Amino acid sequence: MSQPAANCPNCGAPIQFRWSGAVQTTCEYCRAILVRRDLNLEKVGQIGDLPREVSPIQIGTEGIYRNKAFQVVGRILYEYEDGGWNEWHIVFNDGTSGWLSDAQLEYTVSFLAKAPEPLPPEVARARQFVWGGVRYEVTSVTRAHYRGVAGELPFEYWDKKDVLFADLRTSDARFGTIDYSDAAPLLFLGESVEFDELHLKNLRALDAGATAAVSSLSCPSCGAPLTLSAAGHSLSVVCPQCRSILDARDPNLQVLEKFNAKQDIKPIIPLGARGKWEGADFDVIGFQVRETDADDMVESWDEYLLFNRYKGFRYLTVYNGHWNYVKTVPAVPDRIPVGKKQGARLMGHTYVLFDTEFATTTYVLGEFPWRVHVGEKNGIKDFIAVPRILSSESTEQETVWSLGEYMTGAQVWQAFHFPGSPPPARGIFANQPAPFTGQASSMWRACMNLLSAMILLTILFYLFAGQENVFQRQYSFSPQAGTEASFVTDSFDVKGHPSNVEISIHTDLRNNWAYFNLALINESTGQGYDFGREVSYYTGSETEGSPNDSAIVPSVAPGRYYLRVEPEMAKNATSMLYTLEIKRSVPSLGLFLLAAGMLLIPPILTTWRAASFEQRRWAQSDFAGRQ
Amino acid sequence: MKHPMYAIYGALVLAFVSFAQYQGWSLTRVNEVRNIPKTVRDNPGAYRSHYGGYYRYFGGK
Repeated sequence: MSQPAANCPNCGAPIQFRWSGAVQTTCEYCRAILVRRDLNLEKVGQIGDLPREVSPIQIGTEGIYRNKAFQVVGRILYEYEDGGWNEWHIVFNDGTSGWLSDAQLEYTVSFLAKAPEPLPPEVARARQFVWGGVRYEVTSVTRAHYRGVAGELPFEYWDKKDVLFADLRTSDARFGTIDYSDAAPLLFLGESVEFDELHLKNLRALDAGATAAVSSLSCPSCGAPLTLSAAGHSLSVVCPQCRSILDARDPNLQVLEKFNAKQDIKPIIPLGARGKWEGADFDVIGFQVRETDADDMVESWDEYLLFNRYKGFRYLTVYNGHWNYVKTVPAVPDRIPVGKKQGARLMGHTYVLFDTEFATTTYVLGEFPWRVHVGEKNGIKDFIAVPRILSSESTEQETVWSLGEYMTGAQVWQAFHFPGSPPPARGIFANQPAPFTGQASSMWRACMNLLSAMILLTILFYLFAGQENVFQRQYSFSPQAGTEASFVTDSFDVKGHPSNVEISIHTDLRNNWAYFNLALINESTGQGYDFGREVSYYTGSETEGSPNDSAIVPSVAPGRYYLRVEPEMAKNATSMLYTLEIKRSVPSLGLFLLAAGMLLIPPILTTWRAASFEQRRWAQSDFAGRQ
Repeated sequence: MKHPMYAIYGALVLAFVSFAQYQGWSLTRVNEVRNIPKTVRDNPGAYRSHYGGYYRYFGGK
């Protein structure tokens, strides 16, 4: 960046160029507008009185955009019915230049681009263009009034009056402007940027006594004192005494309207409160109550307007103790179907339409960067991707998109350092995070880990459990023999720790049944375990039953035992051979299944509660019962 | 571990099932009889099983 020097042809003051490519500049001393003619400077005009400076940016401000350092060298100021904006001419350290736009503290960086197609002589809102595979939508068409210039510009620009601009947005915060200030429209393309992203320094000292933006005034209607915290940005200010809505840009605060309210409403967050959001201080400067009357049921919510002199405006909305921190979105979401519902896609997130309604403003306090009007009705569409809510507010003139993030009352109270507790939340809100949704999936993962551990444990028990064979003998039984059927086996030892004992019966039954009365009896204590097992096995065209069976006797203390056996069969049945086999310490699959069931209970309950929460959430939407 | 309470609960369940396996606990129950006379050893027919006479249910006339 070279810095050629010259003298002002009007007053002789030295003119220092920050950018060698400048075609026009202004004299800081006599405020003459100077244009380069070959090697000379020619005065072509005079800078008029400019409105009070409220932008934190000034000529000489330096910053970084996409890893390239830049400096602000010039400025064009525009005004229109609902406000004004600056086009700051920025020059990068590689000699290229672009534009940093500052409209109510919303920032975009753009560059002159070659239009991929001939630009139309006029455009209307909602018209779409596809350039380089990206869909641009015209979001506003503004007839602006050229208000003045300062510093160095890449072209002559000093004799303009009304100029037409069309702003375009995409779903990923890209930005475009069709500039109709010349005979042939020009296209500028760029993107929206956050204040912090630009790493700006050498900013205008707005904080010096807070005088640059705060004004103390009085209501022209009732004389009540008024404070403008965002002077220069606010378009409306409300007198809390007489409920007059005043023109904040008019030095005389012209009364625009008065509104009636059934009662005074005291915001639970007082105007003037300062809270910390996104690492910066924001002041509460406005408050409004809005309501819907969908399905003949009036529901109202409160909206707080937050302001930071560098970062602009944010919103806090609250309904039944459910809060959302909201900022406007410099993008136009893509409208897409999500299943059978309508949806929107923005910045990589998919949102599902939750409800559509009309909202009416019923009460206002403080100041606003728009022409606030009690009774104003806007069409609202809410799309959710928990914990975010994407909302569109439409009037006949424009559609504004905003993105909210769910906050608990405790988070809001903490941001403002309020003592005590906020009013508790009631019911479920559209984008309220379900307390169990995230937990369910992670709990299922934990459950899988525990079940895996249990399966491993089961395998280990089956591999290494004793399963000690303590008795095995074959017997025969014939019901036709007519002798005493009952008998006792030889004694056998059950050793070691208390364990279960499995008694298995293996018969040669075929198309017959037998019943075994069994008693495992401790020889020394006389304690017995009395049980019976039926064995039946029928085979033919179909097979039923089994010639074998077993029974588990739990927690058998070590000792010497015998088995009393009393087989029974039908009186006319033929004889059978059977083997009694007794084992101790046999793994019980039933216990493992019981444990698996116990491990499944918590994730099942959590999943059920999450599903129940979602059901209650969607019961409030336009799509209740149509999920 | 995102769910420490569940992890503790799961560990307790696994410990419980291991202990139950070791002790030979079972989900099935058998009829426990105390003080069976030693004479059963010599005269098994004198013992009346709780489950005796099963076949009578199937015998008909």
